[in-house]
Amino acid sequence: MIPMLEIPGSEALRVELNAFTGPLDLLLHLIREQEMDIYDIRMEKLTEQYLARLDQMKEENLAIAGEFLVMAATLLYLKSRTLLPVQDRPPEEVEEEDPKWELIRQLIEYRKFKEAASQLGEREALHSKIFGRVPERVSAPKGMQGPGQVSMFDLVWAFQKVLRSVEDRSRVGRFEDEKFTVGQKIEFLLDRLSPGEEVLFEDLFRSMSSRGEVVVTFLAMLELIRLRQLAAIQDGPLQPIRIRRTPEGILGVPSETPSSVEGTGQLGDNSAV
Amino acid sequence: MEWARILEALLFAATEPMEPARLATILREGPEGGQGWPEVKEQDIRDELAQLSERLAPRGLILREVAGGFRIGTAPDLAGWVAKLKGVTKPPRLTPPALETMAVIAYRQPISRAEIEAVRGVDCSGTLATLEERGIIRISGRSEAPGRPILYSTTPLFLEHFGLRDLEELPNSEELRRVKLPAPADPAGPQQEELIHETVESAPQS
Repeated sequence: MIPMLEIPGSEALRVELNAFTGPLDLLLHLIREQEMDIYDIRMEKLTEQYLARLDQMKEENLAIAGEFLVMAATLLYLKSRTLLPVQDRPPEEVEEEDPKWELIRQLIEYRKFKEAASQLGEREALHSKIFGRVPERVSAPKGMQGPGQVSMFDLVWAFQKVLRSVEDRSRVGRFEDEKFTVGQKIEFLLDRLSPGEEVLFEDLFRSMSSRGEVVVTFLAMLELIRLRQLAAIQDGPLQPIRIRRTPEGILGVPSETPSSVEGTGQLGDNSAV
Repeated sequence: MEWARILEALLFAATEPMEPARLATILREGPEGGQGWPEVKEQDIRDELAQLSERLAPRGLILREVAGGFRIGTAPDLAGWVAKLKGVTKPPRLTPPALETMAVIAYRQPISRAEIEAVRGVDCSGTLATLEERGIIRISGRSEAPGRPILYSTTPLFLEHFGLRDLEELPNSEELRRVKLPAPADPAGPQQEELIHETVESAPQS
C-alpha cells in the first residue's frame, strides 16, 4: 500500500497529472519543483514525492499507467539501498556502481530529448499555420481484384526470369564473397523508389550480378509488399509486372490510388498463392 | 527574368516541395513540343526564387524552403482565415507524447521501438502508429538485433511538417546525436518489457 503523504502547498501546485508523458517526465518535474540537483538526487525525498503524486492520481480516479508503477518499484528499491550501511550490502553489490546512476543517466538523456521535443513543438506551431496545396484525392478504382491481379506465381515466374539472366551475366564475372541482408535491401528499395513512383520489376535487379543479391532483394521486396509499402501491379496476363511504392498519406488521409491504374491488380495479403 | 512567371506557375501548381534542380530541368526542356530556356542554371533558379520570395512578402502567400525544395504556402498570420475555408478549427498538431517519440526518431534514426521506449520509459506503440499514419515516419528496414525489430525513420513530410530544410537543420543535432541511448531491455530476460506491456493493457484508458 502506498502511504498517504502531505505535500506542503500541494493544492497550489496541483498539476494536471495527465500532462505527464511518463514516469521520467514526472520525476523531472519533481526534481525541478524540489530544486534538487539532478546529479545529487535525494532518493528518499524524491521517492516520497513520487509516491504522493501517485496517491493523488488514485484519489482523483485517474488511470495510472503501468510504467508509473514500475518506476515506483524502482524508486523504492533505490531508496531501500540508501538505508543499508555499505558493509551490510550483498558482497556482489559492494563493488558495483550505485544503481541510482543508471536512473540519473536515463533522466539526463530523457531531458535532452524532451527539450528537443518542445523545440520541435514550437516549429510545428509556426509551420502548422502555413497551408500548402495538397494532392487532389482521386477515388480508388473498384477493379482491385480484377483479372490482372498479380499472383504469387506471376511474381515467382518473373523472379526466375531475373535469376536466369543473372546466371548468364555472372558466368563471365568475378566471384566475390559479398554479404547482403534483407535490411540493407529494404533500405535500397525504399531509396530507389520515392512514394508513388513505379519501376519495372526487372529493372530493380538490373545492376545486380550475384544470385545471392537478387534473392535477398526479392525477399526484401516481398517483405515491403507485406508491410504495404510496395505494390505489385500488372495490366493483364503476361504483361510486365511493375513495382510501385505506396504513396505516403498526407495528414492521416491515405492517398488514394490514381484512376489511371483502373483494371489493374495489386498484390495484397489475400492474393492467390 | 522572362521565365519568372513560369517558375511562379510551377510552384503554385506543385503539391510538394520543388528542388531547384528539378525546376531548372523543366525550364530547360520546355513544354511538350515547345521551346525551353536551355541556358537556365540551377543558380539562376535560386536567385529568381529569392526575388520571388521578396515579391510575395507583402502578399497573402509565402515561399518556404523545406525538405530540400521550395514550396508556396499561405502566410502564417492568415491561418485563421484559411482554416475557416477548410473547415478545420485548429491546425493538426502532435500531442506531447507523439512529439517526444518524434524527437527520438528524428535524432536517432533508424531506430527500433524498444530503443525509443528505453529513452522515453513508456510504451510507444500508440504514438508510433499515429506518426506512421500521418506519414511523417516510415518503416525503413529491420535491425540485425535479436528478433530483427522493425526500424523507423523520418519521411520528407516530417521535414515539411516542421518546416525544416533537412535533418541537419534540427536544433542541437550535433549534441543529441551523440547522446548514448540507454540499452533496450534484454530480449532474453524481458521482465521489464513484459511488465510494461501487461500493465498498460490492463490499465483502463483515461
